[in-house]
Amino acid sequence: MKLSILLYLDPGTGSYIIQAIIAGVIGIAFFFKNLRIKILSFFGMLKYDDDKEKNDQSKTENKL
Amino acid sequence: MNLHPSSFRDSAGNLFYHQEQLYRGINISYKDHYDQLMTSGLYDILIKKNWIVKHAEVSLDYQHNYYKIIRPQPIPFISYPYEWCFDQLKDAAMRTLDITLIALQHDMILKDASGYNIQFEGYEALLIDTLSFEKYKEGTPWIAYRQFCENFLLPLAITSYTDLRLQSLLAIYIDGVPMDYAMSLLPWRARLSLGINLHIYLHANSITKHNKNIKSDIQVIYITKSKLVQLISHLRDTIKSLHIKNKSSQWKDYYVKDTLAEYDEAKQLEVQQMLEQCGTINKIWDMGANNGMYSRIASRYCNHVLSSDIDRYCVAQNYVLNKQHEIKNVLPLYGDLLNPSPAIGWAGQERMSWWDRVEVDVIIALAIIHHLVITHYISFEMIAKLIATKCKYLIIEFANIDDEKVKFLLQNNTNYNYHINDFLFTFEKYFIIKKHIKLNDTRALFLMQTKKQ
Repeated sequence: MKLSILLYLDPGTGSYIIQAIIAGVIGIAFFFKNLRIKILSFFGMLKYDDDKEKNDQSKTENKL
Repeated sequence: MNLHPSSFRDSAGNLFYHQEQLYRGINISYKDHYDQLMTSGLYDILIKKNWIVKHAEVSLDYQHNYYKIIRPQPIPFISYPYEWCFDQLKDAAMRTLDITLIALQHDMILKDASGYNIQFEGYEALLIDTLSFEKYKEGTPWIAYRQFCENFLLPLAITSYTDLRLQSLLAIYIDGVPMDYAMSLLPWRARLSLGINLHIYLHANSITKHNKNIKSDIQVIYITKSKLVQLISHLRDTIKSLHIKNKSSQWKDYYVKDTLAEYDEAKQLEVQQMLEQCGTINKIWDMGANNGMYSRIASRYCNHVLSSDIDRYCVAQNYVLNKQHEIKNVLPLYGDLLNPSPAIGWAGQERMSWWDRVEVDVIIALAIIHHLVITHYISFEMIAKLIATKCKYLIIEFANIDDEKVKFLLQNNTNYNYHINDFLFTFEKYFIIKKHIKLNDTRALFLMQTKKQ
């Protein structure tokens, strides 16, 4: 199904179009990211996201 | 019924005051969207997570004008994105995206992603615009994508890559930092980030390109929900990867380098005793709070503390420390007493000035008055007169002319008549001195009660 949207000379036009393009680029990036996660978890080398969040937070704290 | 001066953009409803209470009227045209928010479980989840302001449906005389009227829970201190520290702006951005992602699970989306839709209660970022949700139509792009980038991503990227002080640009550009301007401020190495490249550079190019393309009145755009989720998640990852650069600042290590432990211990004890003497306190404003050490002490004696400082690094440090220690009733903000946030927006009324928003029970002014008087030529009279209109009690520290810091400041201002007698004579015009404690040979702490005018 395709959806038609009326897009006049609206500042949002370019912003709408680019979302479709970026979504495509990100789709490829996500594919490789998922592949990486699968390979890492296969070899038991995957870190948990929670740890990553904590590391990120302590990075900010150290910088302060 | 007095309409709120900022409530003119949204066709879904408006904010108004009735008997000094703030209400939100929901228009009939927004009925389906509001019903979906309330019945889909989205509102309940957001309330459970404490991500949205609570509201109650009420019945008022103006009922016939609206589908429904709701009364949102009041926010203790209204703050704006240009007064937040880097991490507050970042957390507000992440909260906006997280809410959008949860909304998509309930077939809704945020149609408005302005920074002004977020308010802080302590360190919790809350969405306050209950009417910013709309029903999601499969295939449609995110209408608020550009607004989000201009309100959050661009200021965060600029400040992360260059200087924290540039966050003040948000006070000049009420609708967010313009993309072309932001690009001119970003260094070339920002392009090394895929997220910055996609969401800023490519995004800006597309806007420029399609603004000129008059023939393309109709475009066919279709983005599946899963692609949209990936786009928003990627935007979130990009925001998450932005950090403050490690730079020194004048005030950042104040409590580490500049003050004596013994003197601070005595001062902390006295401040607590004085706060106890003030009776029941709802709100305290700690002006010149540095990293918020005294604000966190004050937080035990009241419901809410506003903790402001002129140094954005100190505000960031304050915010992170409160999160770390789970102190939920302290709001750190960037506030320059010499040039406080003005009222901005249409008719100068959309966003209130700093002094129009601040009204508290107690003001704490520690080690600040000598800077204002000696360095910036603000007289005791000007300070006392202004402060007396905004609080019931004042806890103020005075450093006399023999103090090392005062001597240093007076080096360049030798003609200034700075003396404790002038200070007391002026402040006693506006306040009753309830307590006077000597902290050491050169510094004293005062508890003052505002005289009824």
